[in-house]
Amino acid sequence: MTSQFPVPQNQTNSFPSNKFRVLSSILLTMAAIYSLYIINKSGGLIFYKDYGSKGRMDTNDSLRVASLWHSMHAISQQLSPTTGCSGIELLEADTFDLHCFQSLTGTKFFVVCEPGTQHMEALLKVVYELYTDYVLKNPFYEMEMPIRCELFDINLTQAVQKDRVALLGR
Amino acid sequence: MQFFGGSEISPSPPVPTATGNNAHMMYVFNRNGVCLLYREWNRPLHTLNPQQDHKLMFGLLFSLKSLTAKMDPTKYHFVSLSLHSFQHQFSVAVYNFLLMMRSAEKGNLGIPQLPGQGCSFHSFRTNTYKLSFMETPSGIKFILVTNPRTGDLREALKYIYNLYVEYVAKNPLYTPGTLIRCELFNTALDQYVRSIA
Amino acid sequence: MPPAAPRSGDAIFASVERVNAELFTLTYGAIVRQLLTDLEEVEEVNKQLDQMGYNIGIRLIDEFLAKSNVSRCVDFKETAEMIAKVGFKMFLGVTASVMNWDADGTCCSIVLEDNPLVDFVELPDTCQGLYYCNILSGVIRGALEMVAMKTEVTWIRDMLRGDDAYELQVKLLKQVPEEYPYKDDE
Repeated sequence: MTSQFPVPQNQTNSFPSNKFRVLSSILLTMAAIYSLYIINKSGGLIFYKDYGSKGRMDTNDSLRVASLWHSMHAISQQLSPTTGCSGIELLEADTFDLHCFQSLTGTKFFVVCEPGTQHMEALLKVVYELYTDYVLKNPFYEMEMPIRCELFDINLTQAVQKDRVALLGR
Repeated sequence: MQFFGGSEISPSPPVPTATGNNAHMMYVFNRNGVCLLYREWNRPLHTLNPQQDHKLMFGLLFSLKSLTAKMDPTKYHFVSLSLHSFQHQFSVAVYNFLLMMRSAEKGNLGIPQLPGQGCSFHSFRTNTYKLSFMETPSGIKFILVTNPRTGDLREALKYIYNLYVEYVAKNPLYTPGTLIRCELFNTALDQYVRSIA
Repeated sequence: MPPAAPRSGDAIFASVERVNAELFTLTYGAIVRQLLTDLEEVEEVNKQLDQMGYNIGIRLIDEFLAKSNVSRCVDFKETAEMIAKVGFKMFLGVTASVMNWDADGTCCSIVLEDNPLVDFVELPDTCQGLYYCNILSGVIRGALEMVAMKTEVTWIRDMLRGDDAYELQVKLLKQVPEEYPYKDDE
């Protein structure tokens, strides 16, 4: 399997070790993560990152996908046979799995990965933590707006990269 | 009345994976969105009337298929989403959803898909249920809603398709596109579903 | 879990239930006879046979898909091969070959080497315009319509009319995309 993530030339960051451990175990499985989305509570896409799927989506398409997912997620709750449904957590398609985590505040995080990839719930929790740290706590971040926080980008990417290096070094 | 059904269903049913009563309901739709069959085994919660429920289910599957075809990470994008214009403030209401569907018809940005075309999905899971889905190239959709911990039901749905062929499609008194009222099919289905979920 | 491999026409034919071929042939003959009596016009009989075939085809397709494990064909060429190699074998026990493709791959001929429908048949002079096996063209048209292909199926050669083979021309008119079926939010 080819590496889905670029190998960094230098790694100088201080990534929290507990998150690091979670990510390590995720990437040890060597499964590919294709992309990551964050959707605000009204269905707007506020973050999209492609990690090497073949057809990167353009802005319009990714916005549409986010909005459609937001609706589908809500409709899946309507169709539940029993009470207390909180929406789709895992969608299994022919060529990918989609794992979705919704925070209590209504923000949705979802990751698109190879079918059968393990530990994606843990990854989404880590992303959620990074989001609270580097996005929500940033005083200049406008709530519900697209995430343009360099620190968030760096930490997200480096977490993944650093882990990949640790893996290659073994 | 039933003429067929004496013959053996092949292949033989997959090995039972569970015992108990974990199946909630089953839907069968044809290509035109007609709900050919709705069976309910265990559904304490009804939020909509049956007609709305069926439409919403069909709409959900239709949109999820469009979504998965669009998201397929192994293919370059030929398919555009066949839904667009979601400028409205989202509300959970069914009507809003149907409105979206209608707007898709008015001006379709994407290329509509042929049945069976593109990457599709075979199941999704929420905290309260699991929905397993199979669509045949002839556009018949089988949907089985079960307990969220149910395993892979792809083979099971294939078997149910075989039941459909034997007891419904080959029944000369069944008019294609109409509600399935074949006693033998329902009995066989109930029995089989009880053995798998 | 890899999808089950498509089964060959021979394998399916070996496993399906069968009836006496002569009974089948005689039954078909009796139907054609009766139609000729009822409708009087040979052209009308052709139409009726085609319609009957169509009604069979729209049901038969699911039997075909369920038993053969065939998934979607990539193009019309593969579809034609499927009909000839798997479909005919599975339902009639005969093999057919696909030939005479046109340049854009939307029109071809299916040539039957053997045709169980016509055993014992001699076409009388009064039925010269009759396409005795017209039910087959209807079956193909109906089955393909259910997998979103509108086709036109016509007889090119007919041994009952003195030709040297049975040749059906299948022409793809258009592929019908799937659309959201509900018009209104009642």
